[in-house]
Amino acid sequence: MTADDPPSGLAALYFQYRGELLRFLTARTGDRLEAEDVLQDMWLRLERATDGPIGNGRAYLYRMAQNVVINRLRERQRRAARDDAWHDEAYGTVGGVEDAADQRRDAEAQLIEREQVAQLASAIANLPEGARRAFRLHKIDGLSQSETAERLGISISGVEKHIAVAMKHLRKAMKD
Amino acid sequence: VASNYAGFRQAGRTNVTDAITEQAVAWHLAQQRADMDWEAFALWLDADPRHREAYDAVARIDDLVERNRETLARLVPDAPAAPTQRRLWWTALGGAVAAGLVLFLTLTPREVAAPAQHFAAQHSIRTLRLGDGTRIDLAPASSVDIKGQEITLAGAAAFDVPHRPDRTLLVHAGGIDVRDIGTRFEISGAQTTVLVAVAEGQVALASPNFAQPVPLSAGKRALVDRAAQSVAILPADVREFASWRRGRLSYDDAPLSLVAADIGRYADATVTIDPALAGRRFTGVLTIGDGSRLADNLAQIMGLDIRREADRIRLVARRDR
Repeated sequence: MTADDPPSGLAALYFQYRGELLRFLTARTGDRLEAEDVLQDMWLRLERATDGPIGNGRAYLYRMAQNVVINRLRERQRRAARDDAWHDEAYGTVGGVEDAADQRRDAEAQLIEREQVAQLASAIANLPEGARRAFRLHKIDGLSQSETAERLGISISGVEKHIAVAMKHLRKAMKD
Repeated sequence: VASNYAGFRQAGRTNVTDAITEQAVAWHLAQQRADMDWEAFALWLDADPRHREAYDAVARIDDLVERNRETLARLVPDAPAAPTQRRLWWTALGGAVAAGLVLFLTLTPREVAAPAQHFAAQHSIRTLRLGDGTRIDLAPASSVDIKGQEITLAGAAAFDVPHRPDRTLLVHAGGIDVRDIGTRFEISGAQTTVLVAVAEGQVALASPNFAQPVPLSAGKRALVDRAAQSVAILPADVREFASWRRGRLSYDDAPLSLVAADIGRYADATVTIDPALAGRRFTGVLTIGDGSRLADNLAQIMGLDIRREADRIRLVARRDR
């Protein structure tokens, strides 16, 4: 062990579940190389981790894998948006103004995300009544599923159903 | 879990994309629970490219919400309190969504009450046409018992089931249940292994040994190992779907026990394999002909020896000479 090794047990956990995580990530991303990159990213995160998992270590690794996958998806989308902005501007730029162009591209990506959030907000506002209330409480206000269920006077599976309805609507709305 | 989807009707308005999105949401929410089944989730993701697409969409929306909660809280008006109306309906659908299925229809009592009918194919393929348009091609030495929409299969058969929104076909074969509302699929059973391959549409496989039903879509096959209680999902070449109807047996990395069971049906013999060969796999095409040469052909290709005894054929490892 060196000083750079992840804290207690995390490295061992990682190596114990590496094989099944790779299989899972290949299914999750549909791309074996991407799966290997995610595993590599996970290792870098584990090295930076200051504390280990609480309770189920396997579930901890799977959730981390899921987070890394979504971060990479988001980064790819941002980069694509920035590259579009770059192409729009490239004709007008000359050497030496790269920093300014970079900043503009970041600003462009932020603008795109702001537009997406506005679009999302309008889609949420237009959800069917029950779905909107459950989505608001659970996803935006951050109440747990059981707290949301209690607040609305419905069952936990009722909350799940509302969230499913909400996601179906939002997926359609965000596709347009 | 298998019982979760029996007894629920598919909502008339629910299209395939919506149904898949519901499953994606169910998987997304399930991850907050301690009993999340990651293997089953991976199987679901692999079963159909649309599953991954739907899951990505759901996870991306969730991520966007998560990172912009405060902004959204400002932009989205608070909802007035009012009791929800359609709660019961959604609760009923819930079990099915949690089970991760597209198909969840059931038998009506009238159909269950009908007496079972037995059909067997002996030395050649037999085609059955049911009243609802379903066509069943029975391989030789195979049989079905049909009771309403419930079919028990012994041996091998190909099913061509026209889509009808008001019913599901349920096929029992070698300890697993295959559920279907309209597709083409084949099942081939051996003592130790059951193969299910789908050429069109999607089916769900259930067994008391599975934690959850396993969806299987077009272009995929499932190899169920009955002893290990495991199921492997692999790609299937749909051009080779039920190729035995065209006079050949086609295999891609198939367990030898499955090949032996198939050969036995055409050779009118019991074909067994030496336990030492249990792990061997076969890839290739065998011409059926009159069935009598199949075991010899397989032995030749795989470098095996054959022991014959009355109507029993045993494949064993070849002795070094």
